[in-house]
Amino acid sequence: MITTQNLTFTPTGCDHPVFQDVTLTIRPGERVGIVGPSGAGKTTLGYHLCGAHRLALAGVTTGELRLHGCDGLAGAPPGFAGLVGQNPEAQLFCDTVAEEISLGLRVRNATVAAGDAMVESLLARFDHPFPREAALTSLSLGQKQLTAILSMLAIIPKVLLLDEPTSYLDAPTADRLFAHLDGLCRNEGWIVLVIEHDVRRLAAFADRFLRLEHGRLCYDGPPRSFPSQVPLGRPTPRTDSTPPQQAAPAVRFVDIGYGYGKQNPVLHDINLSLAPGEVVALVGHNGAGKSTLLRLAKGLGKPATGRVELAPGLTAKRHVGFMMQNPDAQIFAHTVEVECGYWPTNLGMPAEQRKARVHTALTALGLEEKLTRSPFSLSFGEKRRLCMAAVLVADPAILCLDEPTTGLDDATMARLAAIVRMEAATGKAVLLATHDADFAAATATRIVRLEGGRIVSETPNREPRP
Amino acid sequence: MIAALRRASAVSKFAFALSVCAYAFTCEDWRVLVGLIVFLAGLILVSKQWDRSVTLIFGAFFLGLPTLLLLFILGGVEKAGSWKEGTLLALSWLALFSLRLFVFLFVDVLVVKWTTFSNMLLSLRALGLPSKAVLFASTMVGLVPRVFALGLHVVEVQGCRGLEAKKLARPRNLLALFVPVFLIQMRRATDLALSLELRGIAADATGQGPALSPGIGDVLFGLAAVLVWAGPLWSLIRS
Amino acid sequence: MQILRPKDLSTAQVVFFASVVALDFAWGLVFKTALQLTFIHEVARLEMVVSVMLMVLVRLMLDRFGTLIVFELAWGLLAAVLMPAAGGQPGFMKLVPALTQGIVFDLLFSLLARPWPLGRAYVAILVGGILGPCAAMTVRVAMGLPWATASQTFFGISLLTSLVINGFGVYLAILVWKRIQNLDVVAMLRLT
Repeated sequence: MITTQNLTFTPTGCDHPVFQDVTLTIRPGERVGIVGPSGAGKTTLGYHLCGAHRLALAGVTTGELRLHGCDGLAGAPPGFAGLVGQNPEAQLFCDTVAEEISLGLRVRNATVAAGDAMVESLLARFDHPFPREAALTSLSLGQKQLTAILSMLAIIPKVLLLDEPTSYLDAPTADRLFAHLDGLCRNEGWIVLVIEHDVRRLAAFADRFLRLEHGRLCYDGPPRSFPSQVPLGRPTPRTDSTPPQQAAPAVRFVDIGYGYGKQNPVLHDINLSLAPGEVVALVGHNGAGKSTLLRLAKGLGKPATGRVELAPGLTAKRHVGFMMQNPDAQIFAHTVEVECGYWPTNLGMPAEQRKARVHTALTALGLEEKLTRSPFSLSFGEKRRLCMAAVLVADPAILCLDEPTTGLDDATMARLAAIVRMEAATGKAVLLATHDADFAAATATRIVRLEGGRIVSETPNREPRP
Repeated sequence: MIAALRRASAVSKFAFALSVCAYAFTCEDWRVLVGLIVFLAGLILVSKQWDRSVTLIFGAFFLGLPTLLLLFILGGVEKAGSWKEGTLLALSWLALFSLRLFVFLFVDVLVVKWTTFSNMLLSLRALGLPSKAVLFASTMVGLVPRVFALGLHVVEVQGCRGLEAKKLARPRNLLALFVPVFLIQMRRATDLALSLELRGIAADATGQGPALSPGIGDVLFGLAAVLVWAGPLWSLIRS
Repeated sequence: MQILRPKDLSTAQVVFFASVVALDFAWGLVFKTALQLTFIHEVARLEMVVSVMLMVLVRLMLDRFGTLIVFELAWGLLAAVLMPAAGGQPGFMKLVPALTQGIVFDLLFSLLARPWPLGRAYVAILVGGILGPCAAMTVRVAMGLPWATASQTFFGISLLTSLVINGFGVYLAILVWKRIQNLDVVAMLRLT
């Protein structure tokens, strides 16, 4: 059981708490969804509820926190909680899948046989998605996320916290995961806390929602009573999905074959073209080759077979804008304005023109008031928008967006979808890789499904989703 | 015999390496140095540890040889006063320098190839070093390829925004690589530490590892570390 | 009330520290080796800019005596194991200049902490950056490198360029520090 009384947390160096006066009780077997906009304090609260706050946060916690009857303010004992964060790749320590999953057991002096049995049983639950001796470096992000989750399941914690567990997982794997967790809660009394932006998916699993907004717990109850008037702001499905004029393609993939090394083929016989003004959404399971195709469009890798053709006058370096998944991999400047203007600066754009472009791009993404702020102080959603602005500022003819909605709340997603449609309307060709079916429906003119590195279907997006 | 030597603890091997390196500094006799090199190279070959990485190590040395040669020749000519004599003198110095360098490299390769990582960690624990030292060592080694990959990834990301190698001299571009790598590594460190702590691996765990029990290999390495000084000691006694 | 910071290194600090050494080593593995193949390395150790940045930042974050000694020792051992022929010092001889630098860095960082909280980085790195190469040259001369005019000239030039390169590295490190010192992740890892 987890109980809190007026729990408040203020980070070091901050004058206001991230969350305050949170009072709740969570009983064994409960499946709790923690929802709310970006920056609301969901992750911070989650860390406290599983007793990991002292290990993960710097700040002051006041109020009362009891974990299974013991004082939880000093933290929880090892083995009490398992946690998989937003960046599962960072949590991996070993060389192979089997070593990673069994690490927690080996530390407790479990026998090799016991460790092997646990690895086998967990992988079997997910239909052996990858070999047990697979090197972790060879896995896709989604596979790494699954490995991180399995490594926490292996230690059989009393409380499990999953922060955006489906951000990189495909739908079938996510479904299996939630089904397994459901069984653990009902049969073993586990408490499972899931932080998730996809409220609909979460509602199918959780029996209780906690909603945080502006640091306060504003809802604590069953999903069915979750107030529908809370504006989720899901992207409006396209109703004007008439394909653009059949202009010459901005980019064409011709007989593309590609692999990371000879033993790891990723793409086979890909033939795909995008016209200016088109938005093509690449959908498919983890490891299907979606991100790889985007990378080839940007020239980050040479196809083993086939070729990537850009429209005459276009170059990958100048005219293809690529927005990657992790904003931390690019942010470095001392102000938002300088960060956004980095690409035009490298292109040698005159200062006046660059300044104007930066202002336009930041305004379109709703960051016009943060020009002089340090980009490190932005929330995750704001950083993603900054990254988008930093790509749009150079006015590329082709936009490649790799999982643009990861970690974003509904409002930001809706804004992003509007921007994608707007950019396509100006004549840009947009190629995006996404797990989010709603986002694909709201933005794409065409949806291309990849499976095993091949295109298995290519359909115009005519039917608006309900 | 080779197997016994390989099973020796990392501590014995390291002590042997230090002793041989120290001896190589004092030894002026090229025959002794050649003998040492042949002996060490023989051990590596017999234990089947001579692979491409060993060849590459020596390749790196030879690629840096022209610069060394220049320094030696200029020094030799300055000492001797003529180019011919100076060059001959320089080559003799270079020969001695290179022999010493090969001794250092061979003994280094021998220790590295014959010491597994877990063996090294066990030795550290047996010496009473705290768990955090063991965690530090294992994390550091494990992370080298990952930070390398992270660095390459950031180079790629910033390359998509126009960063080019030739522009790296500018502070802005150096920071464009450095800052993201450093920050991501900080966040990864906290995430990884959290994951390890939750699974029971903590830096403040107490307790010493199993004590080292010296085997034949340890004795042999200890003897070798002492015997290598037998020649100079004998000369010292006689004089 | 949550206790803010234990005095010993936490797991996160140990992992962070190890990752910075790994980062410095990975950087050196590529650039030090590549530059060593050129004449430039004899007179200008360009790769030191990033190494200096990492050392200054890690010392500012884990601000106590011993940090840079451990850093240099760990780096030296990694280099001895994984790139024994690079950098001009063969094998375990790399430990000599590495430890010399580490001790000088840590001494000066600790001694000057009160009067010059940030400026001490310049003093420590510049002084250590002179004494370290001196130790390295001592090893090379002991190995048989002639201490003649040519060697002295190149060594002198390399010391001068060291001052410039190391000073630049400290400048950039302080620039980065000012940007990141208030971040939550830095607060989590900082040992003061």
